[in-house]
Amino acid sequence: MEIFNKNIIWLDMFPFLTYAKRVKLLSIFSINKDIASAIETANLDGILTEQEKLKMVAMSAPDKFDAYLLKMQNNNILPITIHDARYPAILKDIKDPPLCLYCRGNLQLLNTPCVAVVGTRKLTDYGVVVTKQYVENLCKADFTIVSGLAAGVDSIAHRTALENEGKTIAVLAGGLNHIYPASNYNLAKTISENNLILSELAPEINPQAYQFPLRNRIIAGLSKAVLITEAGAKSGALHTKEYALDYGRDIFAVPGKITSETSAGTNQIIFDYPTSITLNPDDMLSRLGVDNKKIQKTAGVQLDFNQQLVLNYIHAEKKTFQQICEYTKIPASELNGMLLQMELEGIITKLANNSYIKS
Amino acid sequence: MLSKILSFGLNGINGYPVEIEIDLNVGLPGYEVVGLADTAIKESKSRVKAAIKNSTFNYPIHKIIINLAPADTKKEGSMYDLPIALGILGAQGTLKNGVLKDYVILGELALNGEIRKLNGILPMLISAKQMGYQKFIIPKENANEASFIDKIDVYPVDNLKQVVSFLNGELVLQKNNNKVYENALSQHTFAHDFAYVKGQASAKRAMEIAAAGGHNVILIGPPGAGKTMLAKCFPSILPDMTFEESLEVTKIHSVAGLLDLKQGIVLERPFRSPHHTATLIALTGGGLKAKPGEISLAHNGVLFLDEMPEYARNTIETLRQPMEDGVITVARNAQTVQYPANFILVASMNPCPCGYYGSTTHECKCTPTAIHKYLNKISGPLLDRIDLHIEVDSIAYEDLTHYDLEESSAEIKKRVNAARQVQLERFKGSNTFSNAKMSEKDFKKYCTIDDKCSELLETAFKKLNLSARAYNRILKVARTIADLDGKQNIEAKHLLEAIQYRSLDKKYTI
Repeated sequence: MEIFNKNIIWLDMFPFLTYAKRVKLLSIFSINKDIASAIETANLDGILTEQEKLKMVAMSAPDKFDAYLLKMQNNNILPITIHDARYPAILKDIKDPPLCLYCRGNLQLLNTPCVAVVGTRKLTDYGVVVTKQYVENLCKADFTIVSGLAAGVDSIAHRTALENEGKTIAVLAGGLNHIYPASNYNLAKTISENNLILSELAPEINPQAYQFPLRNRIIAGLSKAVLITEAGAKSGALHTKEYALDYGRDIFAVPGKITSETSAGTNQIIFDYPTSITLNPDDMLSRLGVDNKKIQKTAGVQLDFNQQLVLNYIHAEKKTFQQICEYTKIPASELNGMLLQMELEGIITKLANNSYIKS
Repeated sequence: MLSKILSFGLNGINGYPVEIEIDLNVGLPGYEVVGLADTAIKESKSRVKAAIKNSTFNYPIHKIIINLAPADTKKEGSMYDLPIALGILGAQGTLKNGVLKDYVILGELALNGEIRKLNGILPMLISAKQMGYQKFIIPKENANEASFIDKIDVYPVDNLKQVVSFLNGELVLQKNNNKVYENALSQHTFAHDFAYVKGQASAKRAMEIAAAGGHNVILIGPPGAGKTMLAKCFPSILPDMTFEESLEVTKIHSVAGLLDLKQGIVLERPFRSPHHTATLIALTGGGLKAKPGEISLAHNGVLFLDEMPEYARNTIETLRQPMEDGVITVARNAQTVQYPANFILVASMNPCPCGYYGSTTHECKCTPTAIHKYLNKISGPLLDRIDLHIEVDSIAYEDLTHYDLEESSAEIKKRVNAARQVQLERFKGSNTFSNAKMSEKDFKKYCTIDDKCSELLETAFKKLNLSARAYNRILKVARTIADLDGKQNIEAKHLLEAIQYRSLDKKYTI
């Protein structure tokens, strides 16, 4: 391993080093000097405390570093430093690019065109439907979906991408051996099979609250555009939006009801930046420079009379099973199977409380 | 100065003969009971003495020794009062010689000589009949209970004096009238009927399928949606009990002292809904006397667990084994008893801790983690045994206010009975009576699907993220739906409907 790569990875072993300190340390030593062996004798007053320096000296033996690398390798984690050819070019553009990305999965995704899909952790039926709709279309246009593996919009975005055999990258706030939230452990595992999970932090570092906004900077940095489908007034997705603006990425926000708490954030974005409004996936894709005609539309499914009747009825807003049953006068025994068939064909979506809406 | 008399004791829901021997001896007057009698029997001393005196008979001034055989089995209860009193009267010569030997006698005495009702008369009589005993003297209040057993002579009695005159041949007693189960059944009406449940077309349909195939169900819906009401109506669409089934249920209820003595037999499939604070013992049975628990009281009927996630986890986990076997063995210090426990489980729960997840009227305030935790309170293995997950929608105000009657339970029951008939025919000669209890071998034989259907099932599994355990359940339920439809083979539409009832198996909801 080249010395300059080793230096970056070695410094990442110490969680107490901030981003700025690491950059500073790297600039103090010449690029081909092994920091680990030089640190004991170097004068670093003002940058490191005595205690911090002692901790680092304790880890300076080459065999300790080799063991560390081996463990990472056994965990199927590959560190991609900023000097690596595989490091995403788009991420180098930002003013504070991560020095190293710890990756597990398909590295080819790093240099594909990406769109971030983020939003609230507490999403409503509306958020589910909209997120699915946009992600499906973005996948068809061959964009890689980047999100943060959180509950809510993030999970829906990753899952919809997987279901549609699209590409997806999950950016974690902590090290790759600390999946947060734990309920998404299996999702993370599935993503790392054919897609990619990555983090700026070394594998064993536990996520801290302040690291989530920092993670959002990578999400924004990796992506060509950031889509926010549903976000409350204090959602973390707003951080991602700030970074996106900072880095000159396009932002898109889906409008919601003004009475809805979970759409307050997106509506505010639209108020502040009116051009960010997106009213359907097609309009977003065309503004991303995708030729709509090139995207293969799924052939329209032939509907029979009853199916059309149901579809017209639930076109605008969700209806419960009982309402559909009374309106269409189809007996419950038949309607049940019919609705599932339509759901499997992707025409309608089933929501909580036994209700349905057009996809 | 010795008399012998025959009575019965209870072990679980089976009776065993108890021979009571009474000896009057010269000596200091006294009263001694031997043969592992409990306190209630030992206390019979005072009741027997007072009853005999108050019935104007002489009480012997002798040493009275009472032996309950077999001497190594614990006996409990107050049913030996009457036989002991008659034994004493027989030993001192108030009764004619030899009149006691033909009868099995049971009854508790009041101080004035009246005879009080007992628990467990029916199981004791049934066991006695099987052992070849013919004539019985029992308390009058228990007469209805005994009237459904034919080919035995039962003499219901009021008081001690009456029994003595009867045995001495001075009085002729009417034999107990025999009643016919079918007649009683035809006069019976249900308190709850689906005709009064507004809307809920989806849930009603699912309940019909559950009744037809004997499937366990869980109702999921917001508070006030009508889950409890639906569950209460459920017994009214279950097929009527056969006489044998009814006797089994009556036996258990008689032992537990829950039998309606006016009716004498249980005509309606039992509906038990223990509160969620119920202990493990309350559900499975036990206690000092190894009494039947709620799951046995729900035998051949419905066990309703309202708000299932609120039950202590270890309490509901114990349901798993009896749900498979249909029996529960209660082992206690004094005795080990096996009670039948073949019930349909109807559980209910909210979709989240606050209850309003996905509701149109209220906003849900639960965090995803809280919802996840709540749903996880029901373990996989238990969910494995519940075939249908029914989503109950909340009802709109307009639905509540129109007064048209919906389809009645009797109508639904006709379809259920027809589907059950198909199943009885299918499983003839085996121990299975419904699709839900189908063995693995039968499953392979009767739940086959064609290529088109298996393709459909595969798509559904992928699209809906169903877990593997859903597979067998879906096919069994599809089998029942096909039976309701009168079809020989499982078709695509049956399968589609069955998949709809696996909502808790979807790997994630948020």
